[in-house]
Amino acid sequence: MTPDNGGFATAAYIITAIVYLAYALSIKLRERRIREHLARLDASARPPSSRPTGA
Amino acid sequence: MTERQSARPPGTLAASWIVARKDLAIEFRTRTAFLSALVFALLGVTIFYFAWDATAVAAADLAPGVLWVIFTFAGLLGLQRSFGSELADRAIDGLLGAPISREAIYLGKALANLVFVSGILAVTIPAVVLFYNLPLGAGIGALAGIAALAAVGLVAVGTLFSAMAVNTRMAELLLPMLSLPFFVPIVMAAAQSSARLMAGRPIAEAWPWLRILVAFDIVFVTACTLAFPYTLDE
Amino acid sequence: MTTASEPLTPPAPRHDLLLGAALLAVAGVYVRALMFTPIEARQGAAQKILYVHATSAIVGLYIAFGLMAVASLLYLWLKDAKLDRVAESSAEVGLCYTTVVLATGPLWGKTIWGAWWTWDARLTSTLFLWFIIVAYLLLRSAVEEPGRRARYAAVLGILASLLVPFIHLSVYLFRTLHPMPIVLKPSAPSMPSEMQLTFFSALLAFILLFAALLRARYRMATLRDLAAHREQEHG
Repeated sequence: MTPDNGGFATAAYIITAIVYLAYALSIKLRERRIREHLARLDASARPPSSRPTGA
Repeated sequence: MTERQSARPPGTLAASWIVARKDLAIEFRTRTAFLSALVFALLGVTIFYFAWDATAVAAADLAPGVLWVIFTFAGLLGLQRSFGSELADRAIDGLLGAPISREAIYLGKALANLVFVSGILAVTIPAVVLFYNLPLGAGIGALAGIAALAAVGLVAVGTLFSAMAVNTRMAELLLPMLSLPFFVPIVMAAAQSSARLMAGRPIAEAWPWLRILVAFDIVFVTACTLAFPYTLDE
Repeated sequence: MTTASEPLTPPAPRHDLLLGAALLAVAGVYVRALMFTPIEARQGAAQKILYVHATSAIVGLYIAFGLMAVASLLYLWLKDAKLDRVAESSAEVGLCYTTVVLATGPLWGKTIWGAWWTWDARLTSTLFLWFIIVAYLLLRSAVEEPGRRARYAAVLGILASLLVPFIHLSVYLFRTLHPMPIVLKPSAPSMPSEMQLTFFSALLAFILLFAALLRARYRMATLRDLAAHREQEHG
């Protein structure tokens, strides 16, 4: 008799999807935060006045 | 150690022994760490006894498990102090300036830790025999041998991680976290082999576990000795 | 090695096409596994958990952890910060995969063995690997100086790879001498060809996903190190 355990399979597939998607999202979010931080660092390093590009 | 020998820097083994003696001299001057670890071990042995229902499980069956759990945590206590003394005033620079190999520093520290842990075991094992009413016999000699092998493995890995952990912000948490996964094969092999030997089983049954223990010791003493120089900032 | 040269950053494309493709591949596998693969008669639909559980285990335990160990060894030899970033990224992505293995394992075990956890040799080894990778990542976060952090992490990575066979052997020996109750023995992997195809497609999809996640994580690490370097310069 084939046991009726499809619920377990569904749960496993959902959990798997959630873990991988959440992790991928976390990488992208962390990367965005670092890019913003980097942009702020670059902005504060350069004086705000319009200078001919020498660097 | 004659004056004539000081013309040549000591070889690795001799240097290890010198480092070990220095550490042990410092340790036994105050004895605080040793006595604390000892009291902790003995208290643990007693607490474990009361944590179990003595009518459901025979004390003699409990004993191996208790012994090796206590061994692990008392060992960790001992390892915590390993590099702590060198942290103050960068005393390790003195050690690094000496004409001895980096491997000798590691072996010396590991040796000192081994003496420390063996000291604790020398009191804890008889305590377990006493409190858990284990039958004295040939099993005790084998138990001492297993304890020695387990202590070597514990100290090899623990000394290396102690050297790393002491340089971090969360040393007391980090040392157990790094070390415990490595202690698992040691504890498993020691507990399984000692349980069989104490129950009077033939040594052939304990042999697969003993082989794991010996292999672990060989692999990790070698690996940790080779890895130690990479934990130094130079 | 305290003064590292500034890490180069490739200009990142707007959208991560590789990751997108990988996620699509996994979605495709989902459809195939759940809707177009026959149900195994004796084990029921839960047998399909294997398509995500076993494949994630192969990628996480062998590919991710193996890469971390090799990168760690190469770092100690060549001292290239890029290798350290590869090791770090591989460890973190591997942790994600290992988490999936540990989350889906009990679900499969409950249906096959009748118990959520049975100290099965492979699942237990996976559990310990999970602990070790967590310890690795925590060690990294506890050391501030980048050169020292890389060295410490590399040492741990190499030692951890030496430990894994011991854990596996110990647990296997433990289990063969203490047989655990088994309700249903899982059938030997002589799967019919449709199931085999699903399995191998799943494996490829998860390998692709690993490559995509690894690359994304590596880029993030490069950016982070770049920011840290710039911060040091400007004080």
